[in-house]
Amino acid sequence: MIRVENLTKTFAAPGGGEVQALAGITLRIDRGEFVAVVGPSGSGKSTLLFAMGGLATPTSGQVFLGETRVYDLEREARAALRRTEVGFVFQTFNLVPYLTCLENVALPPLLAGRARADAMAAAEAVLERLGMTARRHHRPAQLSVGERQRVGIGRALVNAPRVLLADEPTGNLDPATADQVLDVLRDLNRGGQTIVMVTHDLRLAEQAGRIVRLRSGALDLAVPSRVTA
Amino acid sequence: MWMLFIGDLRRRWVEYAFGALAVALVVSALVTQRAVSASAEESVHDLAHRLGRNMLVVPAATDLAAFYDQRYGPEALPDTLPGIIRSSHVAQHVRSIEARLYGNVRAGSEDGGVVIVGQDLAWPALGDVTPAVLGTQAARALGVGPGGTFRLAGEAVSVLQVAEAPPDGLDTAVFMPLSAAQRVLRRPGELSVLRLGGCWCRIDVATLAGEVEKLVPGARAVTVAGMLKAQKGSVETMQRYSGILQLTGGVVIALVIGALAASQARRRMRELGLLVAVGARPGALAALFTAQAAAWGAIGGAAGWLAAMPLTKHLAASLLGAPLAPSPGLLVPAVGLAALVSAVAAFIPAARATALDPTVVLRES
Repeated sequence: MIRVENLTKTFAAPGGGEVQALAGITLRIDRGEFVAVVGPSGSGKSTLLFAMGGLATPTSGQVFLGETRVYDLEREARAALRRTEVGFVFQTFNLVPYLTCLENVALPPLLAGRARADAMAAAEAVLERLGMTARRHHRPAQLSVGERQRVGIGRALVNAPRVLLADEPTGNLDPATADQVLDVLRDLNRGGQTIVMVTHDLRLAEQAGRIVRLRSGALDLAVPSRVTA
Repeated sequence: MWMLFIGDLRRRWVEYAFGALAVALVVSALVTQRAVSASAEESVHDLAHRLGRNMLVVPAATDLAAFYDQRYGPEALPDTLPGIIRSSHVAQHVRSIEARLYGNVRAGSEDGGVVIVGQDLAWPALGDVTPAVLGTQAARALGVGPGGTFRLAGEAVSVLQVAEAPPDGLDTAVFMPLSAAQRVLRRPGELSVLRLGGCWCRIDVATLAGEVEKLVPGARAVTVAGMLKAQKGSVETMQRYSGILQLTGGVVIALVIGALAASQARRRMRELGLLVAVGARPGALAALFTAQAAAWGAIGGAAGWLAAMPLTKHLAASLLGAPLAPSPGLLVPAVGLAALVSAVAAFIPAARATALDPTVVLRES
């Protein structure tokens, strides 16, 4: 489903020189898997996630989504791929503050060129699935943080992407709310949704089907990478 | 995309209103300046049309602006002047000489009174009664019609005709024989102007004017060509400065809208990063920003055109003494140019904002 081959990513350091965020990572994620990517701060977790989603052009290496070489696509084609094949969930939710929940969730289908009525219907269906129908006309500021993240997940799911990429989706939540959000992700995964989740919380990571550990931009193979789901 | 546009507009309407107001102020100034400038140009053409190719000989002290505004002073030329010219060497170039005496008198019900125009033409003899031709306003002010009579400064006057289109458009004038006008105005032996007509194809008009002035000390020969040259020069200067003014206005609009767009782009960085992450085309986002700025500009342009109406009216009344309004034809250019300048000004910050790496923006948030 997703193949990452010998991926490297180097950033220019502010004081000169370079920082190697990813150092030759090779990884395969199959359809229907729930993978947690863990590692200390600065280990390259988020960079790997963004690279898998077509957002961070690697310095070298390849990312395959299905049979598509993501970074062989032109910028516009990669944007189209993100609209339909990938869903992003962020730690800080990144909801548009002046849009309602329904409008936030409807953004991706609207950007994909679907008719407004069609996009709104799809957004309604996703919000219902996430138990957020009663809140659909509220703005983000009127929601609890857990509800905001549900809306964020709804926005990621609305175009039925092949893979859901979640960057610290529980990082801003209290433990109880984090568990609720994780339950949502596990339910989605049980329904066949492929999920890659970056987290620094090992307790949550252990609930994923597989754990991938990163250290200094490389896979940390010193520990077992698969646990019981 | 329009959902984002409308949503942002509703949320930051004060900012949008400020941008549109700034554009409106600049556009209203430009539209007013253009209207006044166009009016000055039209008045030159109108004057040229009315005066034809005649030469006007007036006392050197005559205030021409007041003269054309039908306010006549006491300056005078001797009424022996036509004879002097006819017997001089310049007579070969002069086909016709018409002497006139002008004066304002308070008469009848008209607030500004009427204008007496004495002309040394072949008037019909009516015995003790003075023949006259009246403009329609003068007839109304004096309460007379064709065939009617009235008294003016002790002079019995009979109305030969009420002219719908009086000479030189002098609607408030009472045209009468020169000698009668001298009596009515109590200015015996005086003239206000001489109008010389002729074919001046083979002589330089300015040279002829110089010859006339030498012939009649204390007189000034005003040629239409010379007046036009001077007035066209003024209009051209105004238009040259109007170009600079328009350019300055455009730069001001560009700076205001560009600064607002840049400020918006900085504040909406996270939103833009998110939109790119969920698949918005950066080009479409830049187009959205640009369209928002163009909408600012267009609304400001339309408001500016509307604001220019009272401004032009006020300025024209105080500067030109005439009612004036901006041409409706200026609305489309005002709106279009304001929208275009705003769009161009917003394009660079929009393109820069949407070209940022969304991963950096989203991480910073």
